[in-house]
Amino acid sequence: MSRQKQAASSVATETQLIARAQRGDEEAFAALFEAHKRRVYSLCLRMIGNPTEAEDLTQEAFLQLFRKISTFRGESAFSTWLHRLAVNVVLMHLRKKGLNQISLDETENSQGEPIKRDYGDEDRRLVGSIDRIGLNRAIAELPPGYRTVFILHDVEGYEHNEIAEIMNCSIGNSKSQLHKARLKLREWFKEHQGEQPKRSPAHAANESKESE
Amino acid sequence: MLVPAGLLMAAGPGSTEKDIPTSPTPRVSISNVAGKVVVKGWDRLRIHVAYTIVSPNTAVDTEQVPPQGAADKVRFLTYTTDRTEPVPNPTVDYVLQVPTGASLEIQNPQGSVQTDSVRGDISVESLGGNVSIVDSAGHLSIRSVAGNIEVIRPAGRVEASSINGNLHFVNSTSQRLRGNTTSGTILYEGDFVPGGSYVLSDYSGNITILCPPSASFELDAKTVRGKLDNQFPMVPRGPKSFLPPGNSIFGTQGGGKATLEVTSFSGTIHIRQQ
Amino acid sequence: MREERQESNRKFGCQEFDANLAAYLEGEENSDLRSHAEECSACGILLDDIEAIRSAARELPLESPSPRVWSNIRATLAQEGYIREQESFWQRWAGRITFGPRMAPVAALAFALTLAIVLLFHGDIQQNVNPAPALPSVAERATPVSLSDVQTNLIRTVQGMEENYKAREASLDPSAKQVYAAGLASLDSSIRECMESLRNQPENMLAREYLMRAYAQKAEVLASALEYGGR
Repeated sequence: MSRQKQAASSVATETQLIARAQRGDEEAFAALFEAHKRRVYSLCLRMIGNPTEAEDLTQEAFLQLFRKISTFRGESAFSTWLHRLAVNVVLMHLRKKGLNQISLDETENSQGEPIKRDYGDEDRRLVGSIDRIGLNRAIAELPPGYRTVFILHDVEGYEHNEIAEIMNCSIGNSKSQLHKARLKLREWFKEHQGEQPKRSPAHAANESKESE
Repeated sequence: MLVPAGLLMAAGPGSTEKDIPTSPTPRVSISNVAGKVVVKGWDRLRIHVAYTIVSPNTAVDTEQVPPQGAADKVRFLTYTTDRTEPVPNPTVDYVLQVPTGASLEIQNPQGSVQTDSVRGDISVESLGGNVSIVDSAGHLSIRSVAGNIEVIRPAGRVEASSINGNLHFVNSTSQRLRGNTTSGTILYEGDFVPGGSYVLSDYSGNITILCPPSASFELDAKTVRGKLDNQFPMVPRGPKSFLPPGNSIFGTQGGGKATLEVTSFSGTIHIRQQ
Repeated sequence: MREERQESNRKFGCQEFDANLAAYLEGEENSDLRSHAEECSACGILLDDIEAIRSAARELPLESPSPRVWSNIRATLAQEGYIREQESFWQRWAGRITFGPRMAPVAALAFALTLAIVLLFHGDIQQNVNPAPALPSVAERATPVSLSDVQTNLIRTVQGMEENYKAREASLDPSAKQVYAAGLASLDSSIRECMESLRNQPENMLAREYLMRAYAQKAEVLASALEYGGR
């Protein structure tokens, strides 16, 4: 089956599942959960850093979705709707915890500043030295706004127009936040280059004893 | 381990031996009532069966499909020859050697079942007899009412269920293992496979898990009235709400690569290091 | 090797590189930027570093939540009435059990055990969505436990089978009878305990699961016994 056909076929199946869920079919709820749980949970986990909280938030996102499923009319892709819910649940949670939010519509002053560069030797390239644990740590240390866009785009593969819908911001904002997120991550790796890979508390449980 | 032909039980009085050529993966079914059923895998493309009829007025019927040439399906059926005076427990002891790729379907309500090195799917139904499955690779489905079930080194999916019998799993490399008993105990010895899913559940018996200190699993353990005894230093996880009443542990050990769900109503759940 | 920062009077220098980098990474072709990256080691490294980060991000695995998450979602949805009761294994099963010799005893056992295993491992247990008239327990007629229609049907079916079984018990082979009796006794004991738990804690889902599982298993054992005795 061509990719387009596959995509179309899975949308058709999902449409059926949504219709069944709207009628209270438990199996349909379960199937929708199964289809999206990993993306939602991974998103929450990377945003929050704590598996327990991430599970709570995943649960909350799905519950909100399922409670409202009768109102879904297919105006946007189901997964976009779900991810928007999930992102909102996470951001709300962060707000409650009193963490500073960077609104995605704020423009930053850093526009004119030159990007930091390494004028040292070529051995300090990052290629080949970015490990999963380090990347997770680096992502965890990004400000929430950058973190969200980076996760949605570079990790989860959403396009900017989808991110704009999810985050309720402009496409331009999404692009600029992404760029800044990547630069910040690069800075992080530069600062931590040469360190023994430490385990972040959030991911130690999931990633200890990984074999290379 | 395959049994050399020389060790096969010699046919004695009341014993019959047969050889049936088969395909590499024949489906073999044995429908017995009482007596032992022993099946071992070997590297020949035939079944060698030796059965001993123990009770009177009892016979064994052998059917194969196709009737000539290498059989794809073979069935052994124990039955009573005298309809006017049926034997309550027709008893036949079976010893079979089958191609390792064979799949088995065995019914032996009152007798015991043992298989060794048979790598196709295995289904066993028993009432009171014990069941022992060693070195299987296919889908295992074992059901008993009172019999104990022992599964050693399974590599394929496992589903084992008894009411009063005990379950014992050793050195599984299965990706998916389920064990359930009502009043029996469950003993799981060995490591967990990354990505594997293990569900062990009983009612009143104890459940003991003995795994290496390096084991990696996410644990959901809960009991209504029983106790929990855990030797592993787990990282607690799980939502703060919706804790069920009774004792429970939700934790991640060593990276949480497998998932382990253990439930007992009133038994004690032990999770210990080997 | 130190690379001097390119003079700003060059046509495409590091400043231009910075200004155009975001767009380039978004897929906008820019041969000047590429050439500059090849000539300027610092910018080249920067570009490679960003690509490395993107590549690593793409390869980050998806994590799975624990089974707990779905159980809780499901329980909440059921409690809030978002899940409609529909014909399930319970109803289909209860309709299918007969009292005559049809399946071989072990096949009946197999069917029923399959059901129990499915119910056990797939959680296909109806929640108490519509509180039905409460059914007194088998053992005591004390404070009734609230059950759904489907659960009640199953329990009634099992009671019917048990009466049937008691009528035929004597004709069973003694060793088989012993096994069945012991199995039923264990299950009855678990049923009593679960009922008691539910009377004290009606919201105890685990006890409810165990209760229905025990009834399903009891049905299996009775079905098997009835078939066995009918041979």
